[in-house]
Parts: sequence; C-alpha cells; structure tokens
Amino acid sequence: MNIRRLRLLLVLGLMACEEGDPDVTRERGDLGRGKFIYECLGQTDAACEQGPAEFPQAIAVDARFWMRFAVERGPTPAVIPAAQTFVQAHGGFTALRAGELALLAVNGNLEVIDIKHVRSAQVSEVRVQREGSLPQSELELNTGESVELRAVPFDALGVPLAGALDYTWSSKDHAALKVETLPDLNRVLVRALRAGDTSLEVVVGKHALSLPVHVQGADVEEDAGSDAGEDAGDLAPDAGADTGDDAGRESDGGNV
Amino acid sequence: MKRAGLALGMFVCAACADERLVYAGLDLDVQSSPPSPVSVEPDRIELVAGEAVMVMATPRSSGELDYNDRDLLALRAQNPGFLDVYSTEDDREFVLVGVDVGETCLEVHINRHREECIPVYVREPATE
Repeated sequence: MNIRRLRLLLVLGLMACEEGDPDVTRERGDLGRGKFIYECLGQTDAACEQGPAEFPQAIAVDARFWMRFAVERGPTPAVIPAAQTFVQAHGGFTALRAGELALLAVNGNLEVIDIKHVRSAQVSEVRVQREGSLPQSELELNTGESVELRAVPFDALGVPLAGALDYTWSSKDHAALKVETLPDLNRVLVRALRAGDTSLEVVVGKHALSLPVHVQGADVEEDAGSDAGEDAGDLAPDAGADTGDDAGRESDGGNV
Repeated sequence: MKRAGLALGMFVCAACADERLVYAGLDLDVQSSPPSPVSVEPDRIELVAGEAVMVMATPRSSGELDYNDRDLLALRAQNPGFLDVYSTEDDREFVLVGVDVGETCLEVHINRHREECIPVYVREPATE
C-alpha cells in the first residue's frame, strides 16, 4: 500500500467520523453561535438512562426537561421558550404540544443569540425492556424470579422520546405478580409469586400498556426472601426493606 | 423675528427630508433554517406555530435618500397571541416566532412612525 493510498484512506476515515457523530450537528444552534445542551429533569427521563444525555431526536408531549446554552467565551446566555404555547418554563421546561419547539438563547437584554428547534411528539407506544435486552411485549417468569423493567416511550414513527414523564405501574393480579418498587418511576422491579397468566399495567401520561406475563413453577410466599429488596432499594430507598438478604442472593441467580 | 425665522427654517428642512426619504416597503431576508418551510415576503409572511426564524429587515425608500443605520427600525406583532418578535444584537435582525395558529400582522415602525403592517399567517405544525 503506497503513501497516497494511505492518505486517501485517512481522509475518508476522517470524513466518516464527522458524518457518524450526529450529536455534533444536532446540538448546534440554528445560527451556529454555540451549543444547546440537553439535560434530564428527573429520574424518569429515558434519555439519561446511560449517563449524561445525548441531544434527543424528540421529546414527549407533557415531558419535563432542561436545556442550557454553552458558548466558548463571554457571558452564558439563558435559554427561554420562543412560544409559551408550546413550551412552558417553570424552573424547567415542559413540552405542551406536538411540533417543532423553538428555544432561544438570549442575553441579558433578551436579545436572541441563537435558536434551537427540537421535535416534540405524542407518546404513541410504550415498550418495556429488561436491562441489556430489546423491548419486550410479553414476559416469561419463574415463580420467585424478580426482574427489573424499564418503560421506554416511543412516538408513532418509532423514535424513542426523551423527557421526564409520570409513570404508574400496577399488577393485574397482586397474588401472582408483585410490583416491588415505588410505582411512579420508569423502572420497576416485579416478582413472580404464583404460576399462571396475568399482566403488568403501565400508564405513561394518557397511554396505557398491558404486558402479558406468564408465570410458571411452584408458588412462593409473598414475603419469602429475595434480594428484590436490595435492588428495589437502588430504585426507591423505602422499598423492599422487609426482604431477607440470604434468600435474595439465591433468587438473584441470573434472572435479570 | 430671529426665532420665527429659525422655526420656519427647521420646518422647511423637515419637509425636505420627508420628501427625500419615502418608505416603500421592507425587504426581509431569512437568516436561519427553521425545520418547516416558511415564506417571508415584503407583503406576506407565513410561519409555523412553535417555530422561530431569524430575518434581516431592510427598509426601502422610494425618495432621493435611502434609510441608513441611524434610522430606527422596530418590528412589532399586532397580536402577540399569534406572533412574537424578538430583537437581536443587530438592529436590523429580528426573530419571528409563530405563537399560535391564526392571522395577524407585523407592524413596521421607522423612527417611531408606523409605516405599514405586513400580514402574517401562522400555520398548524405538522405532527408525525
């Protein structure tokens, strides 16, 4: 391979890197004077599940979020909603309507420095997924098994939606399937207690999902120990304090 | 007598200036790329609700003189329920925001004098 070919490959590689980093362009304001940085407001924002949030493709209607503007030098402009009919400001922002939401970076005189649009869409679907796996539409559990699930809202185009939303989880049959954590997070720990078919219900805003759950195996007592309590403690400090540690380690055997 | 002569002179000069600087419209150049297409013309503006667009505004004169940087230009929404106008660090650049679906007009003020009101139509945003 001669030097010219190596140089060509290097140039092509650099071009590919630039094209493959969509956040660089997604974050930049319409006027290119700085970067709009998305931040999560609350634990239920799916955009922050993997650490600091990337700039989202879309935000859910009714979701709460935060945006700030970063410039290389000079005073930091504030970010305000362009139209309060679309974004409400109240210490954070709430997306009120579907559409393209304009946010403005402004200086102390309310003069616009830069503009950013972010798409907002209604939650059209909620998928439930176990950590590290694809979203599932059905769950198979063994009695005594605990799994941590996460709800991910999507729009009608299949785009995951950012923003903190209110979640409500419940079990259709509490004797068969127990919801072990505080039910208002987008993550939940459920424990199978009795064999049979039941369902897990999750409500996100106005959208409800019923997830069929098939449980097999011998029945277990509701308060028979599992480490569900410890896991639940990670999600919600008050939950799961009554579960035993030893039994918990046994039931943890690679189920989640 | 002297004072009366001075006042008459000032009146004549003002009249001359008025004749030499005649408002003939506002040129609007789009400076940003909103997600949805917008139409910004001197006699009609179409925006999408929720979106913002930056425009450069240049008043035109049909008189002997042209407007210059010392001429104070202000743009205002007649009905802020449909349209909002933000200023920028540049006296000739403005950000127009579609607040809600409907019709209003953009008032053009030059040197604190209202020259015209350009019709503005704010469309429903496309969803999905």
